[in-house]
Amino acid sequence: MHVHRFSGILAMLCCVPVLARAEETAEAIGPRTFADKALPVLQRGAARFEAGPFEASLHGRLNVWTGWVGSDALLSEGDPMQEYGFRMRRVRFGVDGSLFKTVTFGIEMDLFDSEKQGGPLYDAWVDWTPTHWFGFQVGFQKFPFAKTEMNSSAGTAHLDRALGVKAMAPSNTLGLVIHSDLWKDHLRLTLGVFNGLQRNASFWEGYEGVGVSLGSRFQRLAYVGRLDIEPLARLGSGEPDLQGGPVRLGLGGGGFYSDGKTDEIFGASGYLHLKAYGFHFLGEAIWDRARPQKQPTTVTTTPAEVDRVTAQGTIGYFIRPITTGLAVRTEYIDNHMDQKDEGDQVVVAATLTHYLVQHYLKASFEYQTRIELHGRKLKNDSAILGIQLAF
Amino acid sequence: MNGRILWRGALLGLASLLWWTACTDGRGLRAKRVESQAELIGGPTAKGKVGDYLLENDRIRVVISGPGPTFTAGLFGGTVLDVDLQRTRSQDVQGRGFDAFAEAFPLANLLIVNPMNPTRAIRLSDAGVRAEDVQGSVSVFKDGSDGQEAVIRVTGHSAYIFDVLKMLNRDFLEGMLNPLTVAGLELDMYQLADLLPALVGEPDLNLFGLLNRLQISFDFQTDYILRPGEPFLRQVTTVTLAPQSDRLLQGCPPTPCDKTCEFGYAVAEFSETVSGASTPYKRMCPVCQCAEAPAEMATFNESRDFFQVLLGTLDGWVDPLWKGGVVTGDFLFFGSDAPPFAPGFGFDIDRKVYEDLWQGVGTMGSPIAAEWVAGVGENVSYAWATVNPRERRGFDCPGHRLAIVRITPDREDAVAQALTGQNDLDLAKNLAARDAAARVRQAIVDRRPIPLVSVPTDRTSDPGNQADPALRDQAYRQWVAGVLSGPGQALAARFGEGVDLDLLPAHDCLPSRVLVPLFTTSATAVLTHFAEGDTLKAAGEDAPLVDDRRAYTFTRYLSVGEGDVATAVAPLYGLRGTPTGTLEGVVFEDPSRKPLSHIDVFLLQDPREKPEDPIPTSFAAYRRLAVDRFGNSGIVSHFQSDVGLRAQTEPSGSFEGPVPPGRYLAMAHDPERGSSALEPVEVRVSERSRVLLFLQAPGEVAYRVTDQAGNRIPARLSFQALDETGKPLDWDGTNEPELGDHRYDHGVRKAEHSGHGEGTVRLAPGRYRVLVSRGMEYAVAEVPDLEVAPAQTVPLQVTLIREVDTTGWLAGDFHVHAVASVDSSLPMETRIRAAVAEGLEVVAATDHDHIVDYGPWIRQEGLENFLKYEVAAEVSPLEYGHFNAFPMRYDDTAGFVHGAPGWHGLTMRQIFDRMREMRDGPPESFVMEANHPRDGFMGYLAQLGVKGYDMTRKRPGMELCNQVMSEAPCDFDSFEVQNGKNLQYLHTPTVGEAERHNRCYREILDLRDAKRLAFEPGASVCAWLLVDPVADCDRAEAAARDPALGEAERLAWAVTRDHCAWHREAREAFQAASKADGLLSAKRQALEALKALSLRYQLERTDLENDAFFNTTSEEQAASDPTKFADVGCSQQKACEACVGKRHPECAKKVSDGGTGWTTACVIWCRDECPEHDARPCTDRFEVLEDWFHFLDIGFDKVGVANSDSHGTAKEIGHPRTYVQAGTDSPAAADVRDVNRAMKAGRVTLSSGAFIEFSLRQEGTPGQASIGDVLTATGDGDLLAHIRVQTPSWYRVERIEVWSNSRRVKQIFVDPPKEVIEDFNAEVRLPRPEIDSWYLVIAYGTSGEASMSPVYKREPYGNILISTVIALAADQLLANFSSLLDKVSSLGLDVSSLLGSLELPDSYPSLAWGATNPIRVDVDGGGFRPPRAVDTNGDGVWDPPPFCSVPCDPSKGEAACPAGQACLPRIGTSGADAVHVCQSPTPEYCVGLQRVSP
Repeated sequence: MHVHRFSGILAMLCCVPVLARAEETAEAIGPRTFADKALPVLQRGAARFEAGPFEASLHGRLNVWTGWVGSDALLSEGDPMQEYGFRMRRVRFGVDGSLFKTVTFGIEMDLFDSEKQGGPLYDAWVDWTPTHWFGFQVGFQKFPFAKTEMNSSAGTAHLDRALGVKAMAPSNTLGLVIHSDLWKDHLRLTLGVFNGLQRNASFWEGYEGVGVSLGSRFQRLAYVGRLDIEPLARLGSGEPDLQGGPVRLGLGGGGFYSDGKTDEIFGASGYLHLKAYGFHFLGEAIWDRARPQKQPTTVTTTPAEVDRVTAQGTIGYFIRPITTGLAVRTEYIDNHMDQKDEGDQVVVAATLTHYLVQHYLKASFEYQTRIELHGRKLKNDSAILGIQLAF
Repeated sequence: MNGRILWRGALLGLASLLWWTACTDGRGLRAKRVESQAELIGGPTAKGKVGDYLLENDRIRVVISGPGPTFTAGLFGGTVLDVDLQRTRSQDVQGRGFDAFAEAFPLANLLIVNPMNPTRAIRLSDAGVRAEDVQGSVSVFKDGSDGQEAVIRVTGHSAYIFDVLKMLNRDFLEGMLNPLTVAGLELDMYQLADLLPALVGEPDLNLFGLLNRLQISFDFQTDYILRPGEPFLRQVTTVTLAPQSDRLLQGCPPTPCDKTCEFGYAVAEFSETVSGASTPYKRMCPVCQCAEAPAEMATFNESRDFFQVLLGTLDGWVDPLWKGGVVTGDFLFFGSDAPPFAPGFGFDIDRKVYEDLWQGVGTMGSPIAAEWVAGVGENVSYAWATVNPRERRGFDCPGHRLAIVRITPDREDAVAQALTGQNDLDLAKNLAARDAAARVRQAIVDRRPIPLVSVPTDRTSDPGNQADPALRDQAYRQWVAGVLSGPGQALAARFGEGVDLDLLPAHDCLPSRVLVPLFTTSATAVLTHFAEGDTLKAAGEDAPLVDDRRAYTFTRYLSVGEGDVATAVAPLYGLRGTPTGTLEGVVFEDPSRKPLSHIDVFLLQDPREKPEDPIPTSFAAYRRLAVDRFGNSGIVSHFQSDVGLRAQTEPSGSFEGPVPPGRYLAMAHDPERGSSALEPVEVRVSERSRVLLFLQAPGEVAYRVTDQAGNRIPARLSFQALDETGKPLDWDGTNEPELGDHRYDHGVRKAEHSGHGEGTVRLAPGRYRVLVSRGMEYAVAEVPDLEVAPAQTVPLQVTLIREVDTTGWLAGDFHVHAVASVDSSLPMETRIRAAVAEGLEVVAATDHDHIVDYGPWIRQEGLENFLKYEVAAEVSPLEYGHFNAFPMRYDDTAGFVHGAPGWHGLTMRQIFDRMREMRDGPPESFVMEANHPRDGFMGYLAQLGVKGYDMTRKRPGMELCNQVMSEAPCDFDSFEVQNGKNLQYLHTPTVGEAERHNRCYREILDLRDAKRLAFEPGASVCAWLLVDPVADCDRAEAAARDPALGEAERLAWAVTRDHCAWHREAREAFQAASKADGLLSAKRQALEALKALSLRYQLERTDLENDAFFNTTSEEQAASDPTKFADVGCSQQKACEACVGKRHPECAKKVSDGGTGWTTACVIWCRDECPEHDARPCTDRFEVLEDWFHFLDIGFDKVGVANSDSHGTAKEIGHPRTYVQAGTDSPAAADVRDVNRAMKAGRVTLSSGAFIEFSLRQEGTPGQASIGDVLTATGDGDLLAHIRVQTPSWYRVERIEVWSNSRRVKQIFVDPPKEVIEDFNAEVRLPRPEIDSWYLVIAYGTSGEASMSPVYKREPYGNILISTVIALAADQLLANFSSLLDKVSSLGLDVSSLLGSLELPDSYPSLAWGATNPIRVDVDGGGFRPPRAVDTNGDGVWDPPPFCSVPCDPSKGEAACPAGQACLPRIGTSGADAVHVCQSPTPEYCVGLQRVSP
């Protein structure tokens, strides 16, 4: 059954030699002036304001997708689209800036992320870092637990983050983070306290961004910490190795405890990120356990504790002359380790991306197949073309 | 002045003209055929379509349906379908209005109009009498262009809304009477006619003459009239008595006639001598004499027994000139989107119906009488009333009546005795004791007066209408006082103390009222007019009797308001000439003083003697006073602040409306705020009175519900009100259904269905116990005492643990309703949320005769990963049985029913075929399901008359005439073993169970004193039920667990232990009931206790009962087979008389023969001394489990399913539910076609709380079979059944049974703490069967530990069944004819038992129950052969049960079909194309009664 699921991926791999030949042609034509011209414009943002020590710039991001999905696809089950056609995945606008360089801030709205509760607010934080030894950031911000969640989705080698990461890694939420570069540019410790975590209605929908205006009414607080090491050189932003260069390595891990009023959640993650000469590898594993604060009074056939795990690895290569990259990601997901059902999946995604202006303007075509290891086999493969514009 | 001004003026003028023209065109007076959707009204219940008719004026719009068949209750069209105010906002016009009116159409003597039925024009000639068809129609009679009137006219001949009413057909009646078996004698109708005079003691009584007098055939003409400026619809109907049948006309003598008569011909009665019969045959024939102009019918002005008008009394029957009356009115369906309101009873008319019933008064015999009835929808409301043109007051009324107006309850028997047999009173001649008792009961319960003596108005005391009105009033009062103190006092002396007499105006002079014999949530019959007292005229000596009064006219009004009762009723006050003042007021929030919109305000009649008396502090306190004083709740009217759209256009919190003068109390009420203080207000004629009302702010509960993984999950939150001490309230709790609150029972104030597990609930401030649940697979989280304060938000978070492991099974409910059904107002969104909140994973949208697609609503709610759905419909013929089909093709272009297959005029075969035509997808995944197959009118097997013990058809009476069902197709796939929470409809009750329940039920109803709930042993069945069933109850508990005893003995003790516990619980409940607040409350509690006890006995199926069931056969066959029991219906006496009579001969003899008759003692002796007879089946109530077992025995494989049939949220969706083994437990992963395939394969387990898994293997043999499989067990080993029964931690099961080949082969008692999830999980050894056998498992509980209440509620009042309705009617009928019935009974014909109702327990705590579908075991390796299967024709297919129609070969004659059936061409086929099938032939006299399509 899975043979023809892989056929799309194989077909894309076959395209690589063809693209390699195209590389030679591109070199002959000379530098692509459009990208050269557009890059500084997009990097700078749509508008920039400076007043003495205060700087602010307007940024935005837009993702439009189109393609085909299987008849069983559901957004609430993590699939990229529910019906074939077009989908506006993201429309974000934001302002970021700084004051006296040590104080930075960011405010960003996501108009189309309708899956997230808590309104359109995506980022709203202020950071004070007087020295690399110490800084703190407060507001609605990244939850420093999983590397692949903390990396901007704009910089992936795929259309979007891995399904397992979206489902299991808490995304932006409200809290305070203290950070310290113990070894400047090489070792960073991050500790945070946030509003308690709230999960959505299904595993695939992940965590909610709620409690922004009300305080942590239901879930008390969550505590998180992580350590990141980049022993050789800085990895740079983004998942693929668009810059090329020598071997760079990043590794680390995080953990959290959410002290919910009625349920508590523990989580742990670890990752390895490697970039070298256009190749990249990023692997991360996440495990968590949720259990009700009040245990049932009897032994049940369905356990009260729920353990979940996901592990994913993506490998890819960026063909610099034609600014095109190919990446393949494989995920293993088990949304309930005590049950063998459709929630145990292997997901494979192969993505071909043409970077017109690095991550600022790119087009990706991705074929994703989801293989249910148990239970009913679902028709939820997808083939999606996505355009991203960021500035 | 200049040109610019002129131009501007001209433009303004032109614009005004255009605007006026447009408005006039759109909103002016007109009647027309609807030509586009934009002309329709629209709204939640709008059913109008292009081709219907529109009536509108400047105030209201009405849609009259065109000729049918329709998909509405008025099957034949020509009905009032949609009604709304004229709307002005652009978003509310062009089919986007607010219609909440279901339907209304006129009736006469229970017949309705069918515009497709031609009326008959009579032609008289030398050749005889001929009737010509005149096509019925719906047409524009006046289009309104004259600015005076717009009229839609509907004409047609009468039809039967229910087939059962065809018993009113003359041909049918004669067919039925010919022959009739009386006391074992078969009499033809002439012999019967000879017998009748002797029976009644009236030698002149002629049976055929009597039939002639009954008015059972009408031509209808209804004008729906609108006039400018009137916010009401006039409905003027003329009913003309039509020939009873063409057959009768054909026998009429030649009648040359040259008269042209505007109102038709008179008729005369002709006699014919029939050879061999002494009684002449009589028929009515048109004669050359013009009938009178239509008579205006009298309005009903007070409650009265309408059967007496319709059928007369014995006095009338023996009067040769008597002519049966005509009772008219309308079937009025306000619909569930416009809950009905009646003055005195508010929005809770159910309560009145039941409380009357509990006091021994049926509303069929003593209907609710109200000046009007109303229905309140969203932004629109309706009121229905008539006007008595003869209404007079004081001296202007020509006649008066001295009447008993109040009787002290303790004088009931004495007064009844004083009335019995009196000839000098205006009562029936020689009023029978039973009739007298009924009238006295009605007088006590309903405050219905008993008129005794007519008193002509004394003209000499009247100063005349020129005199000062005050003086005239004074003179009138003096005259009344004089009559009361004179003749009144003398009359009162005959009745003694405790009886009040008053002088009432004659019935004619009173304001009109509408009579409501039975009110349900959405439908009723409203009776408004009657014509009685007509007599035939003797045209001369020896000349035939002539009837020249052939037509009657009656008028009703339907007015339209803005969304409350007051605005709907206001125009009626003017029409009826009711003097009024105006009540106005404002509702504020306290203490913020914010004006509140859309708050209900109730105007209550002030029960205080004097204005200085203290004001009741709550509605409950008020109600006690009001009931005592007025006999009802005294609710006069209902207002809404900022009614309708005013809340959006001009919100001010104000309300206003006309009110008759008087002293009142006003009170605001809101479900989320509670009630305001009661404010006194006096209203005077033509004056304005003002009242200010204050409501507290609501409290809020902000909730979040997660599963143990922390994910938000759908859930239901039930908020149960607590009393001051923190104890949960029961019954309605703090809800007031009379004020429009929900009735949830168990004191539940509100039920919140949360789709995503998070939200905020607004609640009236108070203390609540909160129960958070998610169906039957999750724990229940309880917050025992939550204080909700005004304007405060309380956070609430709970985690629900998933406890029941249903891996691989999907929880489905394949029979649910929502707003698309005429009897449901539940919004689709709520339906979807409720489904996921109850933990359902797949649902079928089975709205009545509508194909519905839940997909858009599920997506809108974002619940796709929680719920899969089937596009489905419930095809709902009124009386042929209901069927679900899924998946169906949803046709968006096929009207509002979206392509649902019609059924009117079709045979069952054609209905089945049409359902299949709408199939979506391959046949192997298409399911046809027979719903509630034993549910009387609406159950297929019941309507076919299938006898449960032998599967043949019993077709007495109406069933015999059902041409629609002469062919009985059986190609459905599944059928509902359980429908709703009705555990009483699982097993066929035994005669003993039925007898004891019904006897005790009646004893409770007959109680007049709560303290007498301690029934006297020996004289009462209740007393027997309330003592220990055996002497050894004390030993039972220990003995049931004693390992020293054998298994059989322990089982017996376990049964005894349970019986003892049941009786003990009932006893305690009766003791508690005797301390209840008031007799009614005591009766209710006692009935609940009785029902709980009776239900448990009915759930428990003993081997004795089971053997008795399958040993039952027809009386004829039993006569030749002594091993069999004869079918005795539900008569314990018949079943037991011979056995009991051996030791107690007095039981077998009537009182007149020196015996005692079938007394309470005999009932008990039967149980104790003749248990095998006491256990015989009550065959008037066959139930489904025995049908299923029988089907399985003969290889008629129908999958058993269990569905909720939920129409709202009070009756929970998913209780019960059907688990389908579809390979996944995740709705997102499910494919409904896989679900359906698994269902058709029988991979189904039914759960009413218990989830049962079951597998079988043979010891020593590899292989295992699951539910739905066949196990090949050719080895010698025993069978090992692995049974796992799970219930969540809040209830349990206690009994597990394995059934095989219709016998219980294993019974296991378990006693787990209810916190244990796996109540049973073990391998059970079963002996290897000798023959191929099927096995299934049933599990249930009977103790309080097995109760799922209050999470799952009981039926607060139970169910009103058709049988109950018939019984209510019969009670009154029997009272009217009690002397005749006494004589009939003396012949040995027990008419009372024929008509009396059979009550089954229908309100009890929700007990856990479950059953699997079978596993089949093949022991010989030759494939599974069902134990009683027969393959007559050797085609490899087992014969279906004999009631099923099968193809046949007509050349084989009688042998072609089972007994009682004939091989006939299928209806609709003929000649060379004829398809012959076995059918139950329809007698000739029935053909044509139903219009079946060729």
